[in-house]
Amino acid sequence: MAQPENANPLVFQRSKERQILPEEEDDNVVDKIDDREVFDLIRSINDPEHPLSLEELNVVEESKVKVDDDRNEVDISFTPTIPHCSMATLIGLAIRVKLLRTLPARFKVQVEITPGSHVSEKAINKQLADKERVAAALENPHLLNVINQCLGGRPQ
Amino acid sequence: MFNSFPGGEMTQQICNKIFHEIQNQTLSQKDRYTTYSIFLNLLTYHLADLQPLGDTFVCGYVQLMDGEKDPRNLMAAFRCSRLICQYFSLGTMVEDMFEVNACYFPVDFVPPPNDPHGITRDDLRLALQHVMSATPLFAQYCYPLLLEKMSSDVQSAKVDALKTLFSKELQGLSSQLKAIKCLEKCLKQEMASLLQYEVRSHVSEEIVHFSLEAITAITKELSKDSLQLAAYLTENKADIDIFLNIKEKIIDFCHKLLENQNTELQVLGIRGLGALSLWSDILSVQEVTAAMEKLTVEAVQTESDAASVSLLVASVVDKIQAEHASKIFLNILQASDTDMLLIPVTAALSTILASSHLTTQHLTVDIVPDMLSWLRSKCKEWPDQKQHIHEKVLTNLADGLRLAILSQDKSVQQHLSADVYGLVTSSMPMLTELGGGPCGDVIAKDESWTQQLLLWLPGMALYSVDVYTRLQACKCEAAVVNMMLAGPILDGLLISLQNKISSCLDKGSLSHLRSASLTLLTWLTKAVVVRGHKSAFDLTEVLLSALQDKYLALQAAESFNIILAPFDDVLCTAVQANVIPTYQQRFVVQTLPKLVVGFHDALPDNKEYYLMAVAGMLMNIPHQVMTTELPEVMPLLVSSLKGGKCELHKQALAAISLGIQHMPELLTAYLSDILNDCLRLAVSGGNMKLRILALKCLQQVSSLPNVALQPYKSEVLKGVKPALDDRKRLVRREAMAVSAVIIWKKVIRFLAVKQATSENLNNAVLNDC
Amino acid sequence: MMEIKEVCSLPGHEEVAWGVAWNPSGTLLASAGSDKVVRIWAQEGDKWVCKSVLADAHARTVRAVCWSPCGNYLASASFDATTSIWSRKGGEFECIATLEGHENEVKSVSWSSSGSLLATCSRDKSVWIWEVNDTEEYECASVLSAHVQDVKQVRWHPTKELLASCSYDDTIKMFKEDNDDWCCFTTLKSHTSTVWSIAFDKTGSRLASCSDDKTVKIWQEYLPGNPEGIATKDNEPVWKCVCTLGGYHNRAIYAIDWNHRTGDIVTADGDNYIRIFRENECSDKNAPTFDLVASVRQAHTQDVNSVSWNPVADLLASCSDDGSVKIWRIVTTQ
Repeated sequence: MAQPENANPLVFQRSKERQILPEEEDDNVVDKIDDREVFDLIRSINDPEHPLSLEELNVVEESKVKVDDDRNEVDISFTPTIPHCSMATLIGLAIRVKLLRTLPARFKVQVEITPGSHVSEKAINKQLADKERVAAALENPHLLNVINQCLGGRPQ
Repeated sequence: MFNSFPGGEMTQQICNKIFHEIQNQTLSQKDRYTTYSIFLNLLTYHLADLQPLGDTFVCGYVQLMDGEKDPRNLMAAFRCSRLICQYFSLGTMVEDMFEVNACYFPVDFVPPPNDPHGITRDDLRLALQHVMSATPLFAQYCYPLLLEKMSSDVQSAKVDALKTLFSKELQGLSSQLKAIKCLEKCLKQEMASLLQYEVRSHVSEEIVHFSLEAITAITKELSKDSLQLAAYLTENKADIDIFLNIKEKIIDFCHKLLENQNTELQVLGIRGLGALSLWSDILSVQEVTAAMEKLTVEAVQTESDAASVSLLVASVVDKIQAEHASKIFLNILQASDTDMLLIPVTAALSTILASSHLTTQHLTVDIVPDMLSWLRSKCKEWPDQKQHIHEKVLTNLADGLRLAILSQDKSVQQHLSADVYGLVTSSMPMLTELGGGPCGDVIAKDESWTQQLLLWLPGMALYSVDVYTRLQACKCEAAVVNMMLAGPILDGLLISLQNKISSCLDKGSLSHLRSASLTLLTWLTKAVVVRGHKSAFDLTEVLLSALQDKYLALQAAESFNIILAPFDDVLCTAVQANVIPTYQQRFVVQTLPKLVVGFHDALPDNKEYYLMAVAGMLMNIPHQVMTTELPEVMPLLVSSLKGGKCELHKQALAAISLGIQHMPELLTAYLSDILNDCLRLAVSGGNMKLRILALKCLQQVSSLPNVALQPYKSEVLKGVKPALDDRKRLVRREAMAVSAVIIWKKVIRFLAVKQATSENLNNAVLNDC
Repeated sequence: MMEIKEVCSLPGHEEVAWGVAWNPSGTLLASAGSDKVVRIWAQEGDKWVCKSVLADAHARTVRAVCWSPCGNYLASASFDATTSIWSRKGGEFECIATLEGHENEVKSVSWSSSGSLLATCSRDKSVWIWEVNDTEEYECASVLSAHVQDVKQVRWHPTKELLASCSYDDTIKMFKEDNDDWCCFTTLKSHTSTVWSIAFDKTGSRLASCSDDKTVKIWQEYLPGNPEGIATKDNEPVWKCVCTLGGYHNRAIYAIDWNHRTGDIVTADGDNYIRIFRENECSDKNAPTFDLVASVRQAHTQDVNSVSWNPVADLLASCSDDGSVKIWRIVTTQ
């Protein structure tokens, strides 16, 4: 593989595992799907170029994951490490696919680039929002292969 | 676009042109953004071409960015600044570069309502923080600035300064000598007084909280870099005093927090001291000890929260001498009027006892006698029915005692055991736990002790009003029986016990007596099974017959698990019990077929108890035994997923999971049933633990390299969907894992097929160019 | 009062169901999905059942289906870059031709009113027009590269040989034959994002479009020399946006269909809704107003991808990401 565009990214610390609260052990309490839960789904996605997770590169942050369980909405902004990162679409796609595979189907997911963090922000957002293109992308073995690598090797 | 840009001299020419001919400040916001984008591109792709420009470039950039106001542009500008600081030697421009960025600190920005750009104050703050921490050269300007802002009247400025001060990046800075020096100054001049001021005036919990966080972070950082610190201190002897001064200020400060009436602040103080005690290379042993004493005394007096104390206690146990520590803790126990500290302090004592740092002399003369005498007096105050706290205290001490005694040689063991048993027998019924494991062999070989114990233990096991005491008596009895020499005395004892139990088990007895005698039977059986005694057969028969009894069946079913499960406090090699290596195998081979027959003969309502017994046994048997027995019981397990009760489902699922793990090949025959039942339980199981177990089982089945699974994949994927939306987060997590495994397998298969047909689509679907 | 009542929900597609289409006599419903098959549904007694599964022709998602005006042929467009033509003989379907030429995903296919022309469009930005000869052979008549992005849908005029297409480039374009060559004669600009779907009214003088911008627009044709005095150019008709329906939809609108019997417009969107709009009786032709007359919240459990009016009965078909195909009855009460 060619030299990554951003050869020396700043590495951030991973957040701790979510603590299990007593009410989560209580079957009578409803645990709403919240920001942290969705963040936990995407933070371990691997960057396509670095041997680091999106969380470690600060591409995804918990504060930029907004979940409304009652309205079935998930909004995520991600921040490419550099403003002309050609991998931005791929990263967005990986986030989308991860959520497609793990979130209940009732959710409407929006994945966008953090405003001001990419030169082709608008074009990429439009591509990521086009469900038809996303669906077609997932039938492309090459892309699927790369995304699968982003989503991690064999699940534990 | 920039990828085709040739770079080289052209890069420098572009920069010089921009610097000389463009007055950035006069451009529109959009155009200024373009300027920053150009620099960001150049810095990223053509850094090597830029670096020779050195100061000229830095100077040009500083002038260009000066006065920028737009938040979007600032985000880009800060990114440029960070790169410049990281990759250029700033030379004479250090201060200018710092100033042109740091003038935005603390960030003062409120996004307009309906802001389409979504940049927040926090985004800007973080971006700026990255710049300020981008080079150690900034430390000399950074700390004074932060200190200044910390004494600001504006709350948000204070918080920002503190946040920045203990940000991860800035801590990294402190590994530099200069930064350490700066930190010291900062601590000396401002921090301590500031903090004292804040505490006194109750200005803001948030401020105090961040301050303490900052102190803890700095303390940790300093102790991590103690080598550098030591080197530094040797070089700058004059600073040592200053340094010690700071140290004392922090200690003082923590002490002040402890004396505060506000519990939250006390907790902060305890944490602070805890952090200090980690600073072991810097604080002397005496100082840590003194801090500890101070802390524990305060803790006792103020009834501080136990969790914090135990946190602290755990963090210092390794740091101070075991003898000294054990004394402190015993003192606390003796001085404390409340129960609040009992658990953490006894846990700490237990840790010290188990650490084998204590001399025999100290153990036999001071610690054990003192501890026992404290217990003796204490247990008189406790109620007949123990509460959780009492049980926990006894368990803590028993664990410590057991390990301490076992670490000594035989004669000392005997001596200490006698002490313990002396207490147990004289202060019963409270203290049976102490007698359980530790020194069964010592006692069992001493006939007078045995006689004495055997006189009262069964009585206590059957008749004590306290459940916990009953259980401990059973364990104690089992330990003694296990260790007694084989022969007529033991045989006689077992026969009389069995008779006694049988009569108590009789349907005519009171229900709690029946239950108690079944517990005793279970432990006695375990004791003889473990040592391979012939009476195991008869006792097991009694247990098996209890499975037919409606009232006792559930407890009897569970007892099979107890018999095979390893315990670390009793009837195990660790406590030098009499254990033969093949006891599990023997017991299973003997008992499992009887359970299978019993299952077929049992009334429909009772079948589940046999299954539970089977499942309980499977949980504890070695692989070898499993492979011979599993084909026999698998049909029972699978069928038990159909009807029955939640508890049975759980047991069966756990056993099936285990079975699959040992013999994956066995799965194929039951695949369809297991998948369907697991999916049903995963989605509609009435109990979350059950749903989780079902999903775990599915995960396990799905991850097997089993071709037979192929046709079921879509079905499982579909079936597990509702569980992805389960009301419980822990269930959802397992459901996602199932989905992940199956999708992963599907994708791999898809990719393999595509590769085989060597399909090649070059254009990425999402991109147009 | 108009009500949309669910007649049945037809499970069958393993994955996303992308497109539905009624045959001209309204007796057969075809549906297409990511499971690479086309399903044919018909009524048996009072139940709707799957009569055939058209499999093995496509290697990827089948995005759309369209019946020929005679009802004897069905075309299916697929992400595998091909379009398949199926011939119906009795109850059997046979794949008689595979149209290759697009570089990547074919998104839509449409049969002209005469049945002699077929149009397809693709992410490769082109629209292809195919001629059908008497021997069931298909020949490419023209490749139109007017759009600058992904073309989402093509639809023929109900009577004339006039083709409309809509695209990711936010525009709608219209094509006609001129001196033996096909060319784009007008571009309809007003939507601010991807135009997902378009539909002509019965007369073909109006077009409805729906978009990712969450609006529906109604376009009116003005011929040269029109009484309204709308300027035309080069003696070509112009199409003007005469109505924008905003505020009804909360998410992207994926499909629109204009009922040629009743004049009602139906939409399907990414908020799981189906909505029906009707032109206000007293509205001006040049500035018509439309009212929302019925809607189904949660028509499917996920995005609704396609919606189609039955040409003869008061029935509606829809399909969704959740894989289901549904048939609805329109009931009007006093």
